[in-house]
Amino acid sequence: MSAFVNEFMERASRTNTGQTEFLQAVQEVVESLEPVFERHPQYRRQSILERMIEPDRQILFRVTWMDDAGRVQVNRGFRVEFNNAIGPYKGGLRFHPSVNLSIIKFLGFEQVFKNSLTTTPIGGGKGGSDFDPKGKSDEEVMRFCQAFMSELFRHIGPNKDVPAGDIGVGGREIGYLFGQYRKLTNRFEGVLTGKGMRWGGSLIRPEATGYGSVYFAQEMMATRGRSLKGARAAVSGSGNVAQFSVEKLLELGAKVVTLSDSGGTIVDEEGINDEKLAWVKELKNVRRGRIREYVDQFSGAQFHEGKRPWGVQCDLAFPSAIENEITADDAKALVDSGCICVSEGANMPTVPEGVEVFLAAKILYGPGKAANAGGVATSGLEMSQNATHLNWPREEVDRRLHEIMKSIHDACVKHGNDGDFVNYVKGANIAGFIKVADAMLDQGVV
Amino acid sequence: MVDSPETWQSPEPWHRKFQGLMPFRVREILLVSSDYDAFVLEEDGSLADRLFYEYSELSLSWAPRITHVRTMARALDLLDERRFDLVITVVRFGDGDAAELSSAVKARNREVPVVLLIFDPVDLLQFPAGVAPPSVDRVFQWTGDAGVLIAVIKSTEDQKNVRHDTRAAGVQVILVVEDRVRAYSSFLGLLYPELLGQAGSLIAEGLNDFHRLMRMRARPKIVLATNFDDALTLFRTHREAICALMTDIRIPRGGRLERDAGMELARLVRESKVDLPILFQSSEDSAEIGTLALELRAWHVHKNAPKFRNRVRSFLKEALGFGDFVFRLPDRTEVARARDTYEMEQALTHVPAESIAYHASANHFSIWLRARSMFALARTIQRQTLGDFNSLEHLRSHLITVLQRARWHEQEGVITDMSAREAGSQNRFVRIGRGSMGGKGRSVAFVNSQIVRHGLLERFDALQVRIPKTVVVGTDVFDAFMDDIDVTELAELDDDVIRARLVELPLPTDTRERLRVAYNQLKGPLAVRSSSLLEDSRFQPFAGVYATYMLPNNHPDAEQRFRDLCAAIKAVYASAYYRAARHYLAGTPHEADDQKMAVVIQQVVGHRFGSRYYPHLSGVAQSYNYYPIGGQEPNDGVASVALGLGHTVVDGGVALRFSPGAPTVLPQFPTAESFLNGSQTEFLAVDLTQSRARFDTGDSAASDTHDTALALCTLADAETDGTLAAVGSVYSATDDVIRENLSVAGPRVVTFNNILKWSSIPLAPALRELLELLRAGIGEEVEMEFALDMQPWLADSSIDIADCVTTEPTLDTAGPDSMRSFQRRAARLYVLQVRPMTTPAHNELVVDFEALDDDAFMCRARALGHGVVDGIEDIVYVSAAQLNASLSRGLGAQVSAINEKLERKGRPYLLIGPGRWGSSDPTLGISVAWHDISGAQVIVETSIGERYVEPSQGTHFFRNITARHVGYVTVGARDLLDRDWLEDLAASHAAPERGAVRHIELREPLAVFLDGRKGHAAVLKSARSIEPGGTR
Repeated sequence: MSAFVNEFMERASRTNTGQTEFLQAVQEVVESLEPVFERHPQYRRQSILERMIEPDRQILFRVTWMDDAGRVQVNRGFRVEFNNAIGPYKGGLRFHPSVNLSIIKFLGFEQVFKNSLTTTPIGGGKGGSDFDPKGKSDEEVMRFCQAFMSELFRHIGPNKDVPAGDIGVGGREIGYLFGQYRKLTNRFEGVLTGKGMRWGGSLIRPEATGYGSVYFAQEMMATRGRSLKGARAAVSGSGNVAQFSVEKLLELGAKVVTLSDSGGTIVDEEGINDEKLAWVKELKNVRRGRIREYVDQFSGAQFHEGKRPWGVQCDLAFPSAIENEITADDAKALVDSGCICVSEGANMPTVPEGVEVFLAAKILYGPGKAANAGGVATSGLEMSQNATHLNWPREEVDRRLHEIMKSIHDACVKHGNDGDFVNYVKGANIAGFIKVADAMLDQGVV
Repeated sequence: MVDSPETWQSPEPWHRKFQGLMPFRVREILLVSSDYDAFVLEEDGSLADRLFYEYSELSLSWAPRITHVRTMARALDLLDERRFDLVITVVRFGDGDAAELSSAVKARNREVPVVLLIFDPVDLLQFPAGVAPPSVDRVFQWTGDAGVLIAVIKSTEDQKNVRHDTRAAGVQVILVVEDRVRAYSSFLGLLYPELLGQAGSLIAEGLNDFHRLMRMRARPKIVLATNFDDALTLFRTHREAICALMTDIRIPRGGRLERDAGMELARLVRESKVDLPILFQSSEDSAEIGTLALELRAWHVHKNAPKFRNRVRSFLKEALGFGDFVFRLPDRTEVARARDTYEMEQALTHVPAESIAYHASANHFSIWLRARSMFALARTIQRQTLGDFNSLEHLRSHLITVLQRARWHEQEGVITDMSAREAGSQNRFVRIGRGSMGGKGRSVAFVNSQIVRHGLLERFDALQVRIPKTVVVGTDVFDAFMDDIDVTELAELDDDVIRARLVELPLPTDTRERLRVAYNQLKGPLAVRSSSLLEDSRFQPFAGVYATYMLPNNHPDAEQRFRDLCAAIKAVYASAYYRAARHYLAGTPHEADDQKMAVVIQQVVGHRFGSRYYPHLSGVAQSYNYYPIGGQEPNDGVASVALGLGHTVVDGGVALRFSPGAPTVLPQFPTAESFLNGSQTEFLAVDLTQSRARFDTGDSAASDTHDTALALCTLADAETDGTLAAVGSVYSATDDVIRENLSVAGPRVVTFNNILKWSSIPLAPALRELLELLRAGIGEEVEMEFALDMQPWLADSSIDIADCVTTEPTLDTAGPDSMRSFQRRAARLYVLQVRPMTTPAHNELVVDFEALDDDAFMCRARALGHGVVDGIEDIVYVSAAQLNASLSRGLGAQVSAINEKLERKGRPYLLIGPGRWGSSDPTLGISVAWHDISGAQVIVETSIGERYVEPSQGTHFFRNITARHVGYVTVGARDLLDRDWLEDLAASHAAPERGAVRHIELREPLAVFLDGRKGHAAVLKSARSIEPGGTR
């Protein structure tokens, strides 16, 4: 650890005693950005880091509600408004018993950079409560959400702070929270994202992550003068992300040869076409069967029990299933078989040693924080639609998603260029920071 | 010369003299136990019949009367209020145990006998040194056969009366010597009914009930000794009256178990009574014993011999003169047969003289007469030897005269009655044959009785509670069917051959006739299940050992359908002799003779939908929830339900788990999307395209189940059938919510929301009430299987029920209009069976966690699960004090690799690590999916460094944890955790893996205690520190 990082962390520890998670996140960011600070002394002179790790505002409040047995329950509510230099505070609400100030600050701090990377005008924040929706009835969840919003409503607004969902906060909770906000303020406005389709939600949300990772791959391939047309793609998983990745890949002319689930992988050398994809959607979304059934339906395909797709020869890999699905060995196998592009639709699907393999081989490796930012980006698009009181058709949302993924890619290239090679991991880390830091510089010491 | 027959003509008629016999009669029994125990003991119809003959008085008021109470307080109140002749108790009941009760009873009246009924030998471990308290007069073990209760009552009476009766009327005594509770309970349970069964053969002798009753009183008494020394004392006391000795060969003598003390006893006895019939029992079958028995002119029977019962019966008949008198020539050729004294009189007029000489020389006449309680007559004849007569013809005429006079004497002033009783039949529950109904059959009868007694049928709006139409074929049909079959030979055959052989043989004719009548009342598919005496009994989960068949029952030819049913019954019988069943039996304390099989035939609950037949929902409910989460209360119980037939649930397939007390709380589904991964996607239905039952698949009981008649169906099938609308929902990906309307596009999920959340049917309240009722009734935690048929309730919806085969008449045309309308609208909840809840150990795991500190490396942590887990020889330990995203993922991968290795070797292990396993936040726990840790038998979460992580209580792996009975433990800051011990172990025993993940192979296994009731857990450093009973 350099003297700069050391010194900085010492100070941060003194003012954030006991906030282990937050301090750990700060340290990771500071270490990854150290070269930036060396090149740009202005950031240090202007105490950008010191300003960034201190949230604009931390709101702690009591949430009192009554459970089904008539007992009064007390929880603690949090909203940490971290940074609104590039747009209104934006970040999820987490309802989970592990929630405390340290965790909310850690998540809010990361959110600032994630949102910035999407290139949309949204700042960073995070909130939540130590309330555990698991094991609660619908009615209890509703009463809690109403009690939570009864305090939160005075701190948020479409141009101020726009919370979304996170762990423990899904469509149901967003509905209850929005209902109470509407009741208290007598305003129907885009104060939350993740809303129902019929009351302010946006189209393309389920598709966004899958589509986005393919758009990102398309941009990466373009840097080497190649298109997706005719490229051979291996996709893992068969859920939402995988299905929409395949859909977009087919649209863009690629040949998809694999899909998988926890039982194993199917390999279809003839390629998965629209008809086969429709069948997979029916299998997984309606019948909710196992992917192995694919080989009974379509002759020529093979099923490899217990295997992941990474042993199959491909040009493009789309890990779209779960964490840690690409081991170091898988990464080597992919590189050896000639795979030139990996775009992560899932969250952290590649183990750290695997990432090292991709970077060393200098292939096009799009890390999840950039490649699957399409999900976050649609929140921004939902805000835009709410602000203009318009519901865009899906083509419009898709077109804008494409634009956003292009911009994210451009930002990564700009900041991740290492001579003949683009390090997208580095690019994503720096791009998210620079945008916020520069906005703060522009707006003076406030 | 011949004495005059007057010697046996006492001044009083014999029956008057007999009236004074058995001065101590058990008329009032106080039974202290749960409702279910009481039901089990009283249920058996044949018990009532036997008691009828035993206890009928002239006034025809039947005794004994059993008064049943559930608590000690009530028992003592009653004892203060009135007199009881016998107190029967079980080890534990509502507010006390046998030790407390028996001393309280004796403190009130020393003379009141107290008998303890145990269900398993380990029950006695509840008492110091494993011996019943001294205030208990005798311990019996319930074997599932009602004969044991008769043994309890009769042996209590005999013990009190034997001295009086032998002196007053020369009543005979059988001396039984056996030391093991299990063995004498079973043996006396067999012997008494045989003795009482003599009453049947005496009907011809006794002229009316009164005479029969008097004869019964004079039946031989049985005295039981549990060791050599007591046996000898009893023999000397009752020397004159002893008419048979039945002894185990290996019995205790002078406080030590001796290999052939029984043989020694027989020698001593034989010296003093040359002709005494002697029966040896032994657990071993050696030629040496055979030879010794032969030398002593004794019978020998092997305890585990398949025909044990028959051998004992033969001994009683031949040695004690039970049964017909068979006139034989010296070369054993049969020349005549007499059922009663009149027939003997007749036969004596014409049988060859040499036959009379043969029987007279061996005292056969007097033995036979004694067995019929004609003691004076027997004594007269016995005193006379052949030498007393001039010729054999003189002997012949003397015998005839004696018998005639006796007969005339008896008949004075007596009217013969010829009435017959017929048992009425029940509608919903029909029983064919006598004998026991087995564990399963009995439980269904019990539920039926409780439903009626507590008015559950009409308790709920829109929901009737009942049992499916059930026919039970009693164990005596099995006995009769198997009577002529050499079962020792079956043991040598393959399962398929056994089945083929038995299925070919006919059922007894009367059984077939009665079965046909009962069968005509049954409609739709049938489940034919074994109901062994051993199955579903406490602590011995035989469930699944014997065969069960599902019959589509839709062949166009009615005769063929009936033949299939008979074949299924016989195939169930056959499964008792399959390799798996024999193997299973060998590992239990049960003996071959216990394996009696009743068969339960039930209508399968459901409706026909095209070629499929299934109910809207099947499930299993337990009255205690060892994995309570969120708002769930342990005592509200827990239910698991699935669409379609119940095999899915019973076999641990995907089902939805909820607490009947809080049905809207589903902790395993915290988000709408989580339904996609954890809910049911397929279901089982009876396949109606097959019209014949098939018995020819599989070669073991395990594969010989119902599968051939079942079809695996998809949710799309259920949607077509209209059943999904009642139990399913849709996940809306665009809104991330669950919608209850199937017209919405999106994945179908089985949520049961309409029932559980929106209360279309009051299923949860009904289950809750049933569980409470059955728990109170059975006196311990219970488990029940059930099925819900919603078709009548859905009838006014769009579904055309005209197409559906209703399982029974929907309308009660005799009822009032409101009733008819109720019945039409009501869904039906059927209870299929109930049994005591099986837990890995005894229900009451009594562990003093405070006292375990020295032996435990972890104690008083928060735990889900219940029981003792021992035999764990591996620990997988993650010692990291801090976690971050990449570390968490790396550790997860290492744990996964070790898991794979251990699972392959079949070694369950203890998993310990910081934070919450599988947490979605990698800083709060190690990133793993279930399959990464699937081999762990106990999972432990510790704090992360200084941080205390709120326990997640295992919700993320909830279904797997509950289905596999995995222990889930969270160690808090104030709990004991001996990290040093663990680190030392890791340093010395760990396999070569480096880093924070250690695989420790233990030199000796450790043990884990999980007390689900207190939510406590302890991990003992060594399983050896568990002493039997020491932790109780």
